Amino acid sequence: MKKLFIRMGILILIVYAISQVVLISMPFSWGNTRLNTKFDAYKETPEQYNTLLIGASTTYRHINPQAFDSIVNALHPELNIKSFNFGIPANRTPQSMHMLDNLLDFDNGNIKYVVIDMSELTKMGADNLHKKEMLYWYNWGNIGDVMKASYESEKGINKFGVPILHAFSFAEKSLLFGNGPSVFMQHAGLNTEPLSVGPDKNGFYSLDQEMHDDPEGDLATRFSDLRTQDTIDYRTMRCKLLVEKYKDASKNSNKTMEANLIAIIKQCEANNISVVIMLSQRLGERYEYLIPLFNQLPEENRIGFQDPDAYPLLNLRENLFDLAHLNENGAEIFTGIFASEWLNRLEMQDVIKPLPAPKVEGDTLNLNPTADGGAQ
Amino acid sequence: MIFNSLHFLIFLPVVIFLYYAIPYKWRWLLLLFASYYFYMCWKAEYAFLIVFSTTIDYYTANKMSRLKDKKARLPYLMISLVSNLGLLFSFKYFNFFNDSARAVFDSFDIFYNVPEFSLFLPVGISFYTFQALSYSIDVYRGDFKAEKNFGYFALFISYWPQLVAGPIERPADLQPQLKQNFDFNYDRVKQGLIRILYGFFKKVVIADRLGLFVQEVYGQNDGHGGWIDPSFAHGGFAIILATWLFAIQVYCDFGGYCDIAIGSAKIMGHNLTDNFKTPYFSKSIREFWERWHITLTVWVRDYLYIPLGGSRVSFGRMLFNNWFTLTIMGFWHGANWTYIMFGFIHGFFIVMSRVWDRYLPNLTLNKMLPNMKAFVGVILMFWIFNLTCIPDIFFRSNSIGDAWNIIQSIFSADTTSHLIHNSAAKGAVPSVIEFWVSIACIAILFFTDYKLYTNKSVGIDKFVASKPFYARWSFYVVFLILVTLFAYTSKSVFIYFAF
Repeated sequence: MKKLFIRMGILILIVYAISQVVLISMPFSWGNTRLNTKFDAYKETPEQYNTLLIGASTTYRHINPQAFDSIVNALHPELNIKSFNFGIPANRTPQSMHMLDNLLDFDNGNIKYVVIDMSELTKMGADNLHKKEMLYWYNWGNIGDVMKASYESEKGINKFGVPILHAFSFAEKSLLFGNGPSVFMQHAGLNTEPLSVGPDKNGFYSLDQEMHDDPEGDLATRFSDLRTQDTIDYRTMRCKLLVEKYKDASKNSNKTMEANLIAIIKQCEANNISVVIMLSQRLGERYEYLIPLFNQLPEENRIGFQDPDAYPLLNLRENLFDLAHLNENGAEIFTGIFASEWLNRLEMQDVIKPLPAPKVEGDTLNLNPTADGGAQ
Repeated sequence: MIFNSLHFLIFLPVVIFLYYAIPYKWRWLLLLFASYYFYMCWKAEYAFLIVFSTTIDYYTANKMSRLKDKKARLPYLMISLVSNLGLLFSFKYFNFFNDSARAVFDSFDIFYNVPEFSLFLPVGISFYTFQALSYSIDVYRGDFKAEKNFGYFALFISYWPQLVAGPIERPADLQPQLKQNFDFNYDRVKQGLIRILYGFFKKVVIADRLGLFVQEVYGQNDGHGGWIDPSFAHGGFAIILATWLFAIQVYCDFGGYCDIAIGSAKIMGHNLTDNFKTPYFSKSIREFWERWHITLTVWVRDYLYIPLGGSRVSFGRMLFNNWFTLTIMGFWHGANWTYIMFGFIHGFFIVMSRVWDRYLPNLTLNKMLPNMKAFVGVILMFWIFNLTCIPDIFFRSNSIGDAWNIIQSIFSADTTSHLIHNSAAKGAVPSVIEFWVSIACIAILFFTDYKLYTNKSVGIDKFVASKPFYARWSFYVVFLILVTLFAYTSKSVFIYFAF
């Protein structure tokens, strides 16, 4: 039996080594076509960007780098902000960290500002298994923390089940299980969705624009089915209740993710990079574990949009695409609010000096007189 | 539980570890428990059907073994036959006959109101029922002594590697092995693992990937508007290509399952019967059936064809026997006219080949071109492969009408390019890549099968194990890399589970 185990071990090592050689030939972004497309666009002129916006769909669909840059640079021209939106749908926080690590490795010291959108931690279900989108970001450095964090977040049998699913996905990634065709796809230049980088090639692609480009895609269904006043009101009500319930919570903070995020903040600070962690609006039940974690982060490094009462415009049907995401108009409003809040955090971090307070109407900056941003 | 699942990847090593770790006298109990667990992973309550079948057959066989007179045994055989076939009929064929009767009554405007059975088809019922039947018949004939130990008998019926999709084992072959004490043997375990590796290559690399293209054509040409892109029906060479791919898919799906089953059993010391011997290298339709689903063919030969008179009857009667048994074999696959048609067409081919051999014995390519054996061999293999694809159209279609739709579509505008470029789901790997990966893997399969064919169709395990070190390790590394990197990972079950 010993002979069998030794030989099987050697065989697995050979296969592992071959898989690793193949993996080295791939960019870090290979597992997500949208991310890969964005990275292709970014790496054409990486030196022009100094701000990375990283996160999930709530970053991807809500922050328009062009508008963000112009708002910030109008107020603080010395920052000379040029941002790129690296948001991708269904991104988890460890994925964002993986993305940041790789982008900073790629960067030659141009990056000065990083925003990380904390819209999901380590959620994982059996349906996610075998999908390259759920595989590509694991590595020896993060798998332990991901398993630990999911153990802390989950309840009941999932406390063990979800970490096992992560471990299995990590093994699949390590051996590139089932991803041979993806390797060909990558090297044949087919791992792209050109439209997904957005019309301005800065990573922002509003949901309205995507539905316009692909009128028969899934978005049309989401738009018609989820954008009802009832679903929107219900989600707003749930968010209010959860925000109220967890507003001061800290007890259930995911300690592993907390330590990871704080470590990132400190490491970046040591390299003169300012980090701001964002908690998006309308995330619903996820606030149960996101708010306690958010509350543990330093105030100068966090921006929270979770409270519907604080940001009523972001919860109006006319500004929403579905029950959780903003439409193009909503994104424009959000970008303005976000820019204002972000500058405020930079002030708190002593990166910039405070300006005289700009005129504020309602909950948004009145930087664009034509924008529909009146007080509610 | 399906073999291509994480569940099985945990189940197999655990069972094998325990099998060798526990004392010999408890192994049957472990395997019995594992077998029922394996089966109950689908639908726990259907294990009662196996328990029922096992109890009846155990009782009747033991009664028969105590009676010397064959006539006296007959009632017990009948109990066994009625019970097993009754189960099969109730769960698999009742609705088919009920619907057919309704159609007949409706055509005469006669009121017919027998309700449908809304039951799921128990996985593998045809396989374990046929295995149980062979046991009762062999005991009745006096070919096999009834098993006294209920546990061993229950294990024979439910033995997990071959429980749900065969090979259909004969009691004389499997039952004694289950009682033997096998120590861990490196060479045997190695051969079992080789077989499993090759089975996974066939199933998860080839069969599941080909399903993508087959479904693209057969899903859209099914006469119900399809479900992939209802506005798009395929035609021309795309139909032929998809049918070729389906023929290879079924071989790899079922053959792959059997390889995994045979390999798993071999690790525990048990030799199961080979079910496929490079069938697509057959040079005649009769040879094809000697190489395709061998255990079913032999079962039908021994328990149906020979009792009908076999070939020791008049020529005309022999043709009928052939045709009838092949049609029954088709019907065994499922309660649908398409399966009957599948068997009927194969029966027709067999009859034609026998008639040809009798009346035109000199009009064969081999005799007309005696100096071009290799060339003739390739032509015949290609011919037989294409011939077997015709009944496969019915096998794959949902109804006879759909099959006609497919056949008629061959004569419409060609859509091969669309099939190759547009089969994958949106967002997945482009189908052109999947297509060429499939073609490359089929080439590897045919190369390997050709090597086996030229080595008297010995199993892949024995073939590889007999090779020198560098060749063995090249096989391990290449096939493990192929399975690892090119496994088609979307969920799919084995086609033959439905039977």
